[in-house]
This record gives sequence, structure tokens and C-alpha cells, in this order.
Amino acid sequence: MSTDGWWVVGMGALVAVLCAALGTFLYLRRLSMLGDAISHAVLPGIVLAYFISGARESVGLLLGAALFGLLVTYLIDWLTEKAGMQQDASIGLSFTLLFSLGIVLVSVWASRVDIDADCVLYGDIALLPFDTWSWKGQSMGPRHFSMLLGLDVLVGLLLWRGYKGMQLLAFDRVFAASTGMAVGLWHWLLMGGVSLATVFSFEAVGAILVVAFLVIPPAIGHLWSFGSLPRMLTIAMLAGVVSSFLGYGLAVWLDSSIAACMSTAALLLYGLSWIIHPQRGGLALLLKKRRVPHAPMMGRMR
Amino acid sequence: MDTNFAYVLAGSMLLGAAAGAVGVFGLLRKNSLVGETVAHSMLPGIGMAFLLSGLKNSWILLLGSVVSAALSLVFVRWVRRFSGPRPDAALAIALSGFYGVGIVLLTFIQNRGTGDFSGLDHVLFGRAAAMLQEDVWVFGGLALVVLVMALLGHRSMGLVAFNPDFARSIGWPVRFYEGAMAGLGILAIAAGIRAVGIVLMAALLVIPAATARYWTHRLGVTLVLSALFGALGGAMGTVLSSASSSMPTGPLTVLSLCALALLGIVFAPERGLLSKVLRKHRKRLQSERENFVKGVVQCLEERPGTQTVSGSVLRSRMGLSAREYYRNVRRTVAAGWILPVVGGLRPTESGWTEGRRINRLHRLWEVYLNRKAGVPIDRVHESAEVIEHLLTPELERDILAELGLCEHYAPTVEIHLHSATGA
Repeated sequence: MSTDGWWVVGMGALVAVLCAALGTFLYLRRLSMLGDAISHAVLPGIVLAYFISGARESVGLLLGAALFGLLVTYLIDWLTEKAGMQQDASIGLSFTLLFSLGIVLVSVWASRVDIDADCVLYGDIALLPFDTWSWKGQSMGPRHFSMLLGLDVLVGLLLWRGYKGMQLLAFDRVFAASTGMAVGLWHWLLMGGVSLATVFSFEAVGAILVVAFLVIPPAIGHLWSFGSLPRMLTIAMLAGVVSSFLGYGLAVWLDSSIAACMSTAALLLYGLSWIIHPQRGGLALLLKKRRVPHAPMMGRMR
Repeated sequence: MDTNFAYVLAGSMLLGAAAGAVGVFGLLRKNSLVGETVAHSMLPGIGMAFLLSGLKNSWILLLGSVVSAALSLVFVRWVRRFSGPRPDAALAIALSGFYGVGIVLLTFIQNRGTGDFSGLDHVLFGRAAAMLQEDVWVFGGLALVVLVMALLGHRSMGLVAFNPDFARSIGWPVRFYEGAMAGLGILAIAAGIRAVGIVLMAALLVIPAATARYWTHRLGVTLVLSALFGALGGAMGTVLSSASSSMPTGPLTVLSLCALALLGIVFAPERGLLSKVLRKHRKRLQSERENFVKGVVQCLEERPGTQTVSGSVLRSRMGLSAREYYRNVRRTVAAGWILPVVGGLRPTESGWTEGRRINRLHRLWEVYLNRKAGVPIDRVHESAEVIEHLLTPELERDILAELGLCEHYAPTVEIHLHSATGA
């Protein structure tokens, strides 16, 4: 594997770890489709950021772009509560509206913005290793790698310091509120984290594939968690890293989009769990000759 | 307008109408995001169909997309069974997983460099203008069939969507109707992605239906309106995108639909924001009017024998500024409750009735709060100030019955103080 290949896999792994960690909490709070909405909705922010800064992204502007993720959350709440729209409909309206705005901007500024429809659809992770940066004359590797690493550390800190809060919010929102914890703040922190993650993953995997990284590894983690949140988090992140390795191999073999192959690899891992899971997997069910529809999960995690 | 453009316009209107009509069922089931999943999961089917056949024939691509969409729905069911009851996660897994596989196939085809790939690109963001006349016949015809079937079957499918348990309890074949709805949805989406593209197809299902709900409560009307909005959005998107060469149809259609939705959100007669604000405003005016005439009547009742109350007495009693006072006088005079006479104000016949009614309701509520809810007598006034404007005759009767009082009971200040201490 070439050095560039390693950088690509590394960036894929960083995206996967980031998304798996945040996606776990989305998954537990049953907000996975909101993750989908946010990942679509940050597009206009990203296009604006590119337009203002010229060809290459700047960290500050990307932080601004993440505000669009919060904007869509706010818009959904407003439509549901103030305008009296059904919640699923307000999600559907809000993110398609913002995504359309983004696509229109891309088309209007096609000559002046360094993004095209392909980049929106599946990113261009293969090109990122060529965009390097140096510090005090020392080459620091691809710029994007450092940015992702920084964000991973940031989110890691957030989850480390706020683990208790996130956990409480994920499992029992009402109880969390009754302890006097600032539930709203934690909710916005999570949404802000997801927005940042989708914005920073955009160049690598595009606006839509990032959903696969947000949802599928946590689903795998959930299957193998057996009732423990730390185990779920670890396995989700591990699944993300493994699928970025597998995906790279798949992409080289098929000569196809790397990011899409990584998400396909994640899907394959999920399928594998389907087969070999000791309690609910296909093999176990075949051996038991008994079908258990909607078998409850073990322990606390339902 | 040339013939080809007319064809394309008619086609995209039909596609919009079919998706709009079918979207209503998704909205009724509170599950309209399933359209997002179904649309995204058509990508691998389209890629596979192209890869296997090497053709861009409409029928083959249609077949591929329908098959993979059906597979994705089966997949969603399996995920629900396997991963526990998490509808959102199942949808998101199917969506992103299938979409990823689709992108793998598309880039594989692209990088292999065989075949003419360009048409498939339009599948993602929609390009109505790229539809050939043959495509319009295929997809438009399909949309027409879906539209007619949705309209014909809307009663039974609506009931099943709205309350499947009830439908099952009266012996309906619920699974059949659910299958029919899913089938119509898949066909509408498979046709619709021609105009708006896979990525934004959800909008064409969700937004017209949600908009129509603002204007009516009736299912049949919702369906027709939703189809109309969908057709209108499709037409606007096509016209706008034909104005520029680089603009895909999908985003423009979505923006048009959102504009239509905004009209509904703001101007709809009952559920719209404007009518809500107006209703509130009207209610406030009414309360103000009622308060003023109540004040006049109270002043007069405290001074038996007098027929008019002077402005200064009233103002100091009610704590009104000169401006507020004249505004209130103007409004109550306009309502026919008050007559301005020499030396002050005099209530008319209806003014007396109204003032006494409000007064009575105020005291009735105070008594009720004190006796039934045990609220101390010095705390009941504030709440009564609000409630007096809201009590309907029916509620008044209920409260009287609850208190065990006859219909003509008229609590006066004395009785209410007495009952408060005696209770």
C-alpha cells in the first residue's frame, strides 16, 4: 500500500471514529434520521464557506458552515411547534430546502467554487493526500488529516468530560431534566457535534455518504453491546475503522469510489453480524429452529 | 413553446401529481421519510440494470429501480426485526447502505469507461429537460396510472394508513392495502426521480402533502390538493431550470414547493400563522371590550341610583391612561354597549347585560376555585380575570351543577365573601 493509500485509510478511519462516536448517541436517542437531515442541510454553509475563502477551505469558515446544521434543527422545531406541521414532514421539508439551496449555489457559482456535484455525492477522499501543509518548514502531511484529527480530539474531549450527561440524556431524558441538568444545552452540543462532523467529513465522503458512517457502525455496536454503553461505543468505532480498511481494499479491487466502498464495507459488516450474532443471528436462529420476532434486547439497552 | 418542451412539462407535472398524491398516505402514517429511503435505494438498482444490460432504456432502468426499492423495504423490515424497534435507524441504515452500494456501482461504471454514462448522472439531481418523448410516455403514463389508482382507492387506503388496527378489527386485508400503498409509492418514486432526482425525491412526496394539510381536513380534498401542488411544483421547477442550461430540475422544484408550502403556512384559513395571529388579536380586543363594560357596570352597581359614570372615576378605578380610556370608549361605543352622554358614560341595554354577565362569570369562577379547588380567597381574583372571558354557557352550566347551584344563582360580592368564610 502506498503512502497516499495509508493517508486515505487514516482519514477514512478518523471520519469513521468521529461519526461512530456521535452517531452512537443519535442512534440511542432515535434521531438517526435527524443525522441524515443535518448532513444534507450543511451543504449551503459549506458552499458559502468555499465561496468566501476561495479554493481551499479554512477552519473558521467551516465552523461557520456547521451553523447550518443547527439552523435545520431549529427550523424543524419551529415548523413542528409554531407552524403545526407533523414532525416527519417538517424534517423532510427542512433538509430538502437547505440541500436544494446548496445545489443551486453550486450550480450558480460553478466557475468560482471548487466543489462539484460529484464531491457532494461521494466526496473526493482520493485527492486529499495531495493537499499538504507544513509548519516551521516541517511537512505535516495532508491538511485535511490534521483537521480531522483536531476535531476527533475535540469530540473525544467532549465525550470524555460530558460522558455522564450524554449517557443520561440518551437513556432517560425526563429523569435527566428532573435532576436539573441543562438538557437543552446537551442536546445542542450533540447536534453541534454532528453538524461539525458532517461539515469536516464533507470533503472526504460527501454530504450523503456520511449518513452511512453515522448510522451503520453504531448499529453494529448496538448489536454487540450486550447492554453496555462503553462496549457499544468501542465496537462502533472499531467497526468504523475496520470498514475504512476493508473499503479501501474493495475500492482498489473494483477501481471505484473509496468513500462509497467504505460505507459498503460497513454495510457488509452489519450483514455479517446478522449471520453470526450468537443470540439473534441467522445461524443461531437456524440452530434453535425458533423465530423470535422483536426479541427484546438484553439488560438496560432497549 | 416547442413540442418537446410541452411534452417535458406535461411529463413533469404528471410525475409531481402522482408523487404528491401518494405522499399523502405516507404523511397519514407519520412515516413520510420512508420515501427518502426508497428513493435513495433505487440507485444500486439503476446502476445494476445499466451494468447488466448496457442500455439506458427507460423500461430496464425502471425495472432495476423498482426491484432494488422493494428489496430496501424488505431490508427495513428485517432490520426492525433484528435490531429492535428503531424505525428511524432502520430507515437510515437502508438509505445510506443502499446509496453507498449504488455509488460504488456508478463510479465503477464511470471508471471502467464503457458505455454512455451521462444519462445516469441526471438520475441523481433530476433533469426533466433531458427526458425524451419516449421517456415521457413511459414515466408519465406510469404516473397517471398511479395517480388514478391513488384517487380511486383513497378511502380504503386512507383508513388503513390512518388506523391499521381498526381496519384489521373489521376484517380488512390490511397487508394487502399496505402492500398496495408501498407499491404505488415505489412506482411514483421510480417515475418521479426522472424529474427531481434521487437525492431530493423525498421533497416531492412530503412537501405537497404537508402543504395540502394546511388547507383542508378532508382526506379526498387533501389528496387532490396535494396532487395539484405536486404538479405545480414540477411545472415551476421545469420552467425555471429550462431557463438556464446548467441548473438541475430537482433543487428548483423543491424550492418552488417550499414557496407553495410557505403560502400555506402563512395564509391558510384555519391553521395558518396569519389566521392564528388574527384570532389571538380578535380575542384580545374582545377581552378588552368586556373588561371595560364590566368596569362601567361595577361602578354603577357600587353607586345605586346613578345612571352615568364619569370618565375620571372610571379611569382611576380601572387604572387607564387617557389614551387607553378613549380607545376603549371608542370600541365599546362601536360595539353598541356604551353611550357617551353629558357627564360621562351610560351603558345601553346590551351593555348592562354584557357587563353583568362578565361580572357573574368572574364571581362564579372565584366561588368555584375557592370551594372546589381550595384556593384561598385572596388568590382567586387573578385567575378569574382571565377565565371570565373564556367561559362558554355550557361551561357555566357545568360549573353551576358542580357547585350544586340553580341556574339563576347570581353571586354578589357579599355572598361570595360570605361563602368564602362559611365554606
